[in-house]
Amino acid sequence: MRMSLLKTWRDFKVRKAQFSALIILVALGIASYVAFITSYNNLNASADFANEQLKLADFTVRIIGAPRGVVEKVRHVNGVRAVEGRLIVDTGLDLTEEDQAQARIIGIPADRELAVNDIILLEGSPIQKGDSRTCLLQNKFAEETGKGIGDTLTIRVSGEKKILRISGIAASPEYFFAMRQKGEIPIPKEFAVIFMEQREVEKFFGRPSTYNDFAVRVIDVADRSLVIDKVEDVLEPYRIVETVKREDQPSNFSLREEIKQNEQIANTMPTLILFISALALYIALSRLVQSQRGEIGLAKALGYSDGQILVQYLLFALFIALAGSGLGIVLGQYMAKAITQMYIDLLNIPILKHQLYPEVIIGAVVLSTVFCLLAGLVPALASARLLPVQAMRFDPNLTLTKGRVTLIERLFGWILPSTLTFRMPIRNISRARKRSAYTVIGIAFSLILTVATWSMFDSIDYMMKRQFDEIERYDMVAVFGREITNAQVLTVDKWKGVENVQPALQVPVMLEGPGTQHEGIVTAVWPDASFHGFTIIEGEDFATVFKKNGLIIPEGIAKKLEVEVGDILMADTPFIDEKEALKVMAVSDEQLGTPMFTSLEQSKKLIRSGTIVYNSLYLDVDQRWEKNVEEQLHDLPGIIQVQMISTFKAVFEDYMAFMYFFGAVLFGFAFAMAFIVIYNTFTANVIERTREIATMMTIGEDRSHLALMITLENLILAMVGIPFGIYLGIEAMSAMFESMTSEAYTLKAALYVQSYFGIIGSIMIILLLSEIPPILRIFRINLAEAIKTLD
Amino acid sequence: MKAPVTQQATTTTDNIAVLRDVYKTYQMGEVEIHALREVDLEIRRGEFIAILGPSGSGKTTLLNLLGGIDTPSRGSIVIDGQDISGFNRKQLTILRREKIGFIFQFFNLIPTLTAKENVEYALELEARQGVKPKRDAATLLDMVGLKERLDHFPFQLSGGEQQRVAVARAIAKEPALILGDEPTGNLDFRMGKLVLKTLKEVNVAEGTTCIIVTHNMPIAQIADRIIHIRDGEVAEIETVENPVPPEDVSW
Ligand SMILES: Nc1ncnc2c1ncn2[C@@H]1O[C@H](COP(=O)(O)OP(=O)(O)OP(=O)(O)O)[C@@H](O)[C@H]1O
Ligand SMILES: [Mg+2]
Repeated sequence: MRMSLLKTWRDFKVRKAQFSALIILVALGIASYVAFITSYNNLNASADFANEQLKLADFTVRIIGAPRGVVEKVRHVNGVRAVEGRLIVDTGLDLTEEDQAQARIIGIPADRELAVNDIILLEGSPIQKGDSRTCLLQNKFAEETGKGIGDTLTIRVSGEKKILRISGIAASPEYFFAMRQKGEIPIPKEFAVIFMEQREVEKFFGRPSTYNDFAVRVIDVADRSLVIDKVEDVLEPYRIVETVKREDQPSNFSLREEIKQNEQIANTMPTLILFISALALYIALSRLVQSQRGEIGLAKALGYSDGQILVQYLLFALFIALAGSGLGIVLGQYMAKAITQMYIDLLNIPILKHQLYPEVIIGAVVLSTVFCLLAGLVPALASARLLPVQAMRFDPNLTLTKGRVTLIERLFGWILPSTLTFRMPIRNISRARKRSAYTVIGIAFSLILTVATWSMFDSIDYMMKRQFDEIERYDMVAVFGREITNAQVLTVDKWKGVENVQPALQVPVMLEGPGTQHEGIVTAVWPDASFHGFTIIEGEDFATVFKKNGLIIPEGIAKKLEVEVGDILMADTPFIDEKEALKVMAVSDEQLGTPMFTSLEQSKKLIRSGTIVYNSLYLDVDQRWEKNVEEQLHDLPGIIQVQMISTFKAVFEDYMAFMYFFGAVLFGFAFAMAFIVIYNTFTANVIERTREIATMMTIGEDRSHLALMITLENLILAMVGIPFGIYLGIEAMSAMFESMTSEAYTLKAALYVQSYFGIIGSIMIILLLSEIPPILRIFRINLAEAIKTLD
Repeated sequence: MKAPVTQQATTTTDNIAVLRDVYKTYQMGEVEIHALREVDLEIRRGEFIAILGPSGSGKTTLLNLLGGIDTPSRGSIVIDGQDISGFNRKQLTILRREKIGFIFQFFNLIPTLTAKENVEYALELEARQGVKPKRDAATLLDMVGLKERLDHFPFQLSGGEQQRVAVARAIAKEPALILGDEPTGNLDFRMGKLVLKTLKEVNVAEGTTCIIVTHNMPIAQIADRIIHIRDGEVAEIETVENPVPPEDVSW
């Protein structure tokens, strides 16, 4: 054993650069594992912790309005642990003279802590009882608009402007992602969540002693759906608008979606990176065994047992595993902290939990040991199985099979340059097929991560372009809280700068499929509506669907509801008592959100109306007049919000920032790994041929020709490895996107033509860089020593 | 500027190699190993020289210095009229390419090249210096008795055949000096003699200077002079009155 250890250490020192590279490779794999899993755990823990600490409601019931006393009745429902009644009013807010935003005013008690949906005061002081002038502002909005303690907010109350003073900045688990609806993309500076004392909200909006929202927490053992039913029974007389469960709560839903995506990355990427590391290690150890055939034979002839030889090579693997995981764990912890911080900021979770997870550390060591030992096992077994005589003979791997010139030369000999400097690289490739295959695989695998990351960028870009150029074909949308008349539509159409107006009706619906339900918005449009670009996957074209009063749903929803074209869905809306049947006539390919469409004619039934009504306008606007049109829209009665595609785009880009952040991290990994894998393969190629190269140099070969020959050989191998790697990379990306596709996004892998050039270009640069050390090694060869050593 | 190697020697002497007060010292940590000490030597054009000595005496070291594979720690070495002791790497490469033919104990053919191509490779290297090769590989292999084996790869040839290819490779560029470090060390008796015979023929027919290292006394008897080395020093230079024809050597 001691002998083995000693020998392992000596062999290690001889190839220390190569083995250090392997250790770094394993460390990168382990670091990615530790970083991604830890940050994922951190994120989950932070989100859970925040929800728990802040007592996120198990469900909330929104009603038209009820006397405050009703809250007592809800509290006494069996299974209710706590309830908070609130008055919540949506209104407008003037940011500046021209800039409007949405505001949601939420009434809270000033004299006690909230028992459900608590808020956390990040800065400043709480609101004062009986002070109608102070409020708390949600942190993200404050951050985005630069509002701080002592600043004022101008809100609209029944057409009048009221000034509020900000006394504190707060975060609420209901509004980590400040959004009104599930699946919506939050635009932080367009939606302000403001907390005021309940009585003051009542006074402001002239709704004395009223609650319109009940947030409920359920006791642990209770069956939530039963509790919901009972609470709904209590609130039924006050006209229930909707009941939202915790998992459908918009902010919480988005947060969970984000975490889910992170989980996918946390699961796939480290596996991929570890796999590449293991493969590189396998190749390196295989070649070590091959290059030490002579020594192995000698050791056996001297009486070493197969077991001792096996242990000797496994010790290598173990050493690399332990060193690699040690380094990787340290590196991974630092990265995890940075990634978690980045996430927490991005997702606006006020509480950060970063900790060491013993199971992750143990997992890392075990993973690395298992991967490395597996990688080392085959070559180690091969070494143990070598017979002494066989071992000391010529390595069959280094001869040209069958004693014939290569196929390439036989086929293309007549056009290939006839100099041997050119032919030797070609022969080198085909004489050692296994080694060439290793090199090709090495190059291909090192590319997977690069391609996958590149494809991630392209896919996001493609998705954005498609979304904003092909799908959303309007410049702004205005949503109203009450119906708009045809006359109003015509007026808007005449405004300066307005090029086109298309009215529509957005109806909240609950669709019931054979197994599941889906809650969302159906947009009702005229058959000739063109503001949304459809890609119909199955069924009739959109105009026909609308003429026939059918329904178009996205693929994801069709899958979720388990329906096909031709099936009937039952739709429930807040405006009807009996469910309405909707026929699915087409399935569309949407990528962002889950927009569903039907005809305006059909919508009459959904809102129990005799005539067609609209509540939203889709406008094409001359860019120069955008601001003016937006302002004019804000002045229309009943306006709830005006969304501009340009803002949306900007926010979306912001929102995707974390993808780019990940991309950068992954590129770092990808390039580092590509370099190490290629460097290792090339170095081994050179080491194995040291005597041959020394002979060539002795008889007068010069350095530049040698460098050229090595480069040529590597380039030929790269020509095979690169397409293979690109193929594998795209496959890996598609698989990952497939698993990341959710209700909110449909992700499809894309890779632009120019990216191929980028990938090939960068891999070439890496290839040429990683060739430098082995070539320098050649230049340093001590001829006198190298020519006399027996292979 | 042209490298001085390519210039013709200004003074043509009868000596192909002259060593003056040559030392080669290896530093092994604290210890200095004197592989060669105070070597003074003159080797004439067309001579066949054997270097004889026990293991570790410095034979290979001496040969390496003559062939520009290694550089002396002290002293001067003149090869074909050029003082190579101060040569840089590039100059040494060109020296080896143009003037020296090497034959190794383990043959050291390029395994990916056929017999013919191995010889052609030496010609290709020579051609890089702008010298148009005067011979072709097939003729050279014919000279060493291998005209039937042109397209065979090294692994398809016996040791003796491989070594004869190596001889053909060494003489291809018409070197000023052929250096062989135990060229028969790895061959059986019959094959060894064949290789020695080929070398001797080249030496006689072309007047190429040959220096071979051996620790085998009978083999040394084919040479015109034998340089005895002991402990890194030239112990004796023996002139062989009647060199034995390789055919008659026995060991
Ligand atoms: N690179 C080196 N570093 C240190 N010492 C060396 C080196 N090369 C050779 N020597 C020493 O120099 C001396 C001469 O070595 P050399 O190889 O010339 O012997 P040799 O006469 O060729 O022996 P053999 O007949 O065994 O081949 C020896 O003592 C050897 O150990
Ligand atoms: Mg020797």
